[in-house]
Amino acid sequence: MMRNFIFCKLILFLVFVVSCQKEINVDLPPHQSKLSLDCHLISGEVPEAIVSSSLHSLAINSTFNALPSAEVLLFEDEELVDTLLHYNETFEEYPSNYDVGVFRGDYIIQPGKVYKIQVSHINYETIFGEVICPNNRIEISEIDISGLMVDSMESYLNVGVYEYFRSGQVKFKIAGLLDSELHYLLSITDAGNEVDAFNIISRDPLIATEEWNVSEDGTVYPSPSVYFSGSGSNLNTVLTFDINPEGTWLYEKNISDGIEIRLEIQKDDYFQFMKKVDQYELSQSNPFVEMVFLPDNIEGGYGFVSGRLNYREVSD
Amino acid sequence: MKNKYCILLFCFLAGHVFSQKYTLSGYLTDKSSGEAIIGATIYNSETYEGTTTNAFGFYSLTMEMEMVSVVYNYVGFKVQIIDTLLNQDMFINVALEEGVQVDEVVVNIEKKEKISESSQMSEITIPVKQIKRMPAILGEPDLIKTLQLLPGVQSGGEGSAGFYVRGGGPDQNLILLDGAPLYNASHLFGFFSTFNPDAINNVTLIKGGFPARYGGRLSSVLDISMKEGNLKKWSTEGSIGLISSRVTVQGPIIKDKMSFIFSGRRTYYDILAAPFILAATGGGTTAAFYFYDLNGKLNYKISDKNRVYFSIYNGKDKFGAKYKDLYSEGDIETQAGIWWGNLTSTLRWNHVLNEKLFMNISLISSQFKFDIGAKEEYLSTDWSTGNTIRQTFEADYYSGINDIGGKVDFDWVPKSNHFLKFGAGVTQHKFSTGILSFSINDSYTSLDTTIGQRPIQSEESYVYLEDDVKLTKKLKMNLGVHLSGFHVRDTFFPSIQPRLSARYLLRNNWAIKSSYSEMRQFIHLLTNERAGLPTDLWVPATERAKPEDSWQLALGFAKPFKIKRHDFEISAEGYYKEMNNVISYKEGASFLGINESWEDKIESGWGQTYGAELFIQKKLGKLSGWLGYTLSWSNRQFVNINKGEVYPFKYDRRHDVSIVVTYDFSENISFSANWVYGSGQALSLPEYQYIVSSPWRSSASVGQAENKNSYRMPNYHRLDAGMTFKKQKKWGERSWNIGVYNVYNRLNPFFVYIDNYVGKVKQFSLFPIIPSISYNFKF
Repeated sequence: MMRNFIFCKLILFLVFVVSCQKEINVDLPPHQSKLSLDCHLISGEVPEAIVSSSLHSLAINSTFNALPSAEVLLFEDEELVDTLLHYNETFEEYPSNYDVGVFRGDYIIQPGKVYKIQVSHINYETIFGEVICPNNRIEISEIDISGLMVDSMESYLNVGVYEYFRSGQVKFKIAGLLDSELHYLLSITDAGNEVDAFNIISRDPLIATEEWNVSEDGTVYPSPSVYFSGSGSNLNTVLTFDINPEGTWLYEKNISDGIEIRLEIQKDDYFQFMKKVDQYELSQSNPFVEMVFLPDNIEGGYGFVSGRLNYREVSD
Repeated sequence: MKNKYCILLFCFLAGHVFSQKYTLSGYLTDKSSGEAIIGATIYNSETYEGTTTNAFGFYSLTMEMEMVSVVYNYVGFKVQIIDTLLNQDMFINVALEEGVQVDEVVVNIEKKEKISESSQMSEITIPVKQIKRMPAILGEPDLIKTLQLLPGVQSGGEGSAGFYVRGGGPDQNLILLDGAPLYNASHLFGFFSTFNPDAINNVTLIKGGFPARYGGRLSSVLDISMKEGNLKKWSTEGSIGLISSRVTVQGPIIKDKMSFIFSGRRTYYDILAAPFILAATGGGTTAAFYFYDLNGKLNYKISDKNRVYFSIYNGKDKFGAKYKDLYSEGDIETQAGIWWGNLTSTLRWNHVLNEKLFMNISLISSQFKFDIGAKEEYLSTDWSTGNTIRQTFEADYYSGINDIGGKVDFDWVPKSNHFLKFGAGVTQHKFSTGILSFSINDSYTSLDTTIGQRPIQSEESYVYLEDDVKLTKKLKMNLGVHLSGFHVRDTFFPSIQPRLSARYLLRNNWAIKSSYSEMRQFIHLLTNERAGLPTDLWVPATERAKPEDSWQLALGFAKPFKIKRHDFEISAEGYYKEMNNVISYKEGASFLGINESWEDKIESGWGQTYGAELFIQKKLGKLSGWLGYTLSWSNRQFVNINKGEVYPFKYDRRHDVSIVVTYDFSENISFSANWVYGSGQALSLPEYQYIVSSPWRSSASVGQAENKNSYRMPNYHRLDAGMTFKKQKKWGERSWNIGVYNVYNRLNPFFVYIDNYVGKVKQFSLFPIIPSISYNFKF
């Protein structure tokens, strides 16, 4: 990130020093608005979807339409299992969702099932997306947090007030058959919050060779999460992480909760989609990067529907 | 019976005697400086058998034994005719005098130097004098910007010194400086090229119908010869301009035996801007942004048949800033910068093996390095101990290519209707494909790490044979084959590339020309398509990124003609070219990321380009110049880009027009102007937007389009004009160049984007009307 920053700043400095800008006419065609759907189906959780309609590219950002009257249906193996309802009060969960709200159901998503989510609205063509929720049995066990220590330090801001943090080694066993078409995202939660950073100590090649574990700014570790890809082989290993290696996570109280190990299993199309979203976001700050085209799996409209599998294990 | 044999023997001997041939050979030079004259015409004025001088000014012409009248002719020089009895092989060095001859004999002689004569098509030679006379941005004459005014050659955009030939990419141009490949030809983010016009002797651009001696790139060859240094007398010339100055010194070390030339150029806008930057930042910031070029050459004439040359070029750009935070408690100093540059050198030995066979052996090295780095230093005081604490952070990213190689070339003229060239070469490439090193030193951390790919080594080799053969009076062909191979990571890529070009003369000096050539390129350039930045990452062909191939077919005509005693030349060509395994960055991929191998960042695909070019030129007289027009299409197709469908290449430009005019009011005052017009570049713009979210990322609006590059930037056009005023002084010659870039202040697009705050499409433009003035001197 640092290098991108320096490079872009230097280039843009030169460009802006000597340049001038003006409006021009480009013959952008009128846009026929379509429904857009952004939906996450995660096993063991209820379905959620953001539904809105597309806008012309010259429209000003904050005018996305909330469509509370849209009908959002969930089918499991071609059988209707849920109707998602619109909720407005979702600001905390989706702080920048342009006030369009979230549709949420109450059916618990099952692994290995085929789901179809369909959105209809009186003013738009009906759209739908289909996805298979991954089914891949991975066991996380023997979480050992004996290497963790609670420490404290005086707050920078409030003299005399002490803040606590927990750091040290966490070990756990992870086992199962890795599917070569799936991607695995490992993260750690401490006291209900995702651990900001951890070092992987065990240097398992499975994890160390995954490209996403080395961040764009050149930092290898620590990282708030690590990816590894399925190889079609059996995994049976003990991973050791050094969490909060720099004592970056500060707590307001003394800590006694367990550590939660999370493993999210994603299909390759969603993994690729997320990479593109990442690239898209990077491209927005750099006018010299070519436009990034996002994949789309919605029939009749725009957006993406993903199916994912979640495992969570909490230490004793 | 016996009589019959005697008659036959007599006939054979008589035929042999009567057809006895001898060879006239030697070097052709400029009388005032001793510089080799390249590409000059030498021919027998009776039979019109002829040849041209090679890259070292050597010629060889075989004729029947008789009294011959040989004409030596080159544009801008007085014609010289040598009458001699050719009764043995002869070696004659000829020196031509600068100037234009106006007597009748020239009119007849010039008939021989016609555009319709050569079998080579798609080739243009630009006189260096022309480059110097062109009006230029900030008064800095620029070779590449002059090339961009030729049909079939496009610029990379506003101010860009990159060039795109017949729909090919910038990596597909082989740029040779005294035989050494130059990997980056631009300065200051592409606004200027690396060639100092004072150090250049000859420039030839080949866009198609490539002779077999060239290989390694798909789209063009730009062959540049540096001056050799004046063998006769010392001379100095230079220029003082608004942003740069240059000086060239040359002269004999041993008169007529050994000479040198040294040329240097540096910009000084950083020095001029420094007080303003300091004032604007309260004294906390200094900036360094400049480039320089140094050219040097030694030329040693050991004997008539042996010469040695050593040439070297070094050019570098630096763009950086140093910032000191004067308001913080501690002492914080931040430095960041980008550096890039070339270093090339060539050692050549010319040896005339005999009157018909010329040999050149070259040892070549070329290096290009791109480096971006930052350093931050924070000095503070530990109040408890009173000690100074020093914390530093340093990061550096570099990439580059190092070449070292050798080649041997032979020119053999066995008969006047055959001109053979053959040779071989080998080059070792060493690619550094992106290496990042960083170190952190503070009270918590001490880290010093280098990550990235190991340098990749590869070897490229080739042999070639070509024959420029005159089959009949009307039909002339250049036939050849270029065999090459590339070895990298235990993989060997062989290649056979046939080359053919032909000319057929019709009545009234009309000539039809045609060519077919296959090319193969073993190295790729990963380059940012959005702007002409120095982020070029040269990488080798590998199993995953296969060598690029192309084939090109061209058909055209050429004819010299007169309008009211003024000589013109017209040529028109149509071409079709297909390219395989061309590469492109994947969408969103960045050259800086070291977490992915470069092979993971690219896509290999297919390219197609076709079009037609028209070129009308007037070389001589008070009024000279040219009109160029190109109609072209250029497309690309990649499996994972644009849903696998064909899309227009970014530099697909339907129409390209250039008009260049120079007019000499007198010997001392001249005017020049050029006007360019180009259809807008292809561009992707979002057509619609919708919401995308992710579990750990807030929702965001994304702008998308149905197809890639389906829009066009506004059309590009610009007029530049300049005047030169010369005056002879006691000490030599001085001239003032006054020029205006972008006379009617057209705001041409540099890049285009959508401003979602106001819902408008906007463009950034770089250069408004820019006047310039420079002072030139020569003594």
